[in-house]
Amino acid sequence: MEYLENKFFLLAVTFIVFLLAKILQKKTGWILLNPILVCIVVIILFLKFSGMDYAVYQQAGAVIDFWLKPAIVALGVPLYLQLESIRKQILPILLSQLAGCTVGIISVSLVAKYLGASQEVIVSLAAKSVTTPIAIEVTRTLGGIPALSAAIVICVGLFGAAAGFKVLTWARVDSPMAQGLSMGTASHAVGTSAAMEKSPKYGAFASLGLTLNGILTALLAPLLLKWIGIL
Amino acid sequence: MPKILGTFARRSGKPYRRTFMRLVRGFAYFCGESATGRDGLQAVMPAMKAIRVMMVLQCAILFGCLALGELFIYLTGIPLPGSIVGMLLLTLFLKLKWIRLEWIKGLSDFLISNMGFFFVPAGVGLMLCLDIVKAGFWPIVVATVASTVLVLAVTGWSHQFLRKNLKSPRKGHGISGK
Repeated sequence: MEYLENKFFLLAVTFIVFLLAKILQKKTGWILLNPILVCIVVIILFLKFSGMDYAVYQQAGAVIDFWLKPAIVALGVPLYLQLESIRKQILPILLSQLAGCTVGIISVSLVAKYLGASQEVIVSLAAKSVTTPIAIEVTRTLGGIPALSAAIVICVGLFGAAAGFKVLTWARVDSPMAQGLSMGTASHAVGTSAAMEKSPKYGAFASLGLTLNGILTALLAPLLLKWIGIL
Repeated sequence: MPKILGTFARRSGKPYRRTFMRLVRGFAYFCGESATGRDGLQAVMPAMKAIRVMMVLQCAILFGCLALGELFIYLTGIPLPGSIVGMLLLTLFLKLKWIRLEWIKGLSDFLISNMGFFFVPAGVGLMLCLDIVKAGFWPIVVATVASTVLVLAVTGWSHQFLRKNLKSPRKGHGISGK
């Protein structure tokens, strides 16, 4: 049925599925039912069963992910509102960022290596914690598979958004600032939006983590990978 | 809305005000309102302001910062996303008071609160790579989960630890509540 390829129909489907997923999560309280994840899965199934090409869906999808970049710019507002408290702890922030970035790159590469992943896959994994554009750039420079990196980045983001706060509570990280910072560092923009839902304060620190980790990974990934003998 | 009206009225000098008032009267006339008295003007102005100034102003600021960010990347060639540079620019302009908070708060709140939804199409794009992922599925999943948990823990721990032990002589950190 050609109508199924109608841009507005696809848009309506996306919106409605997301809304239903949100209601479902509220009713059941299961973390796994993260509305973003559910919506993605449902739409992938819908596309598979209707035999629709991704390119066709992308006509509608483009309207939605167009707003991603402006949304990241909009994070400047909560960041501005928290500038004072950020300035007072600039050193702990920078050092913990450095620690988190380094640990992230090294741990993912080593675990993947010992589990037998191929060279390209390991390299594609390295930039997993940063926002997609940076991850793709870094992977491309290092000789990985950019599309794979993009997929991993989204998975990491969803995992962090869904389970991040639970992990932090389990690790006994209670200070709101530390929590926000970690969310942004480990799971970039998706994690930041989850942090935002908690409160703008978490969100501001998360966007700080997102930015700093992005910059640090772009700078340090080649060096770290060489150092542990992967590159 | 009246507050913003007052802001604009105060900030503009007399000659601008006259021209602006003429424009508003013209618009009111165009809309079919008989804008002879002050009441007529007051009736039309809030609506005009609400639609024209707020929406366009907010978009102008937001997309302006984004465009400036992209320009910066284009000129310097640094491998950073333009949106992050734009975000930093917005923070900077707010700090320098070149932009007032109320000029973008509405749009930025809307975008941020819905940011998760904007990731759906990217996630759907995952289906393009399902074959590649199958190639190294378990190493990818395990490495990703383990590493993400580690990053969360390490960043959080080090931040908390360093905050306690690198405390500056100043007491209190002026953090406002939620």
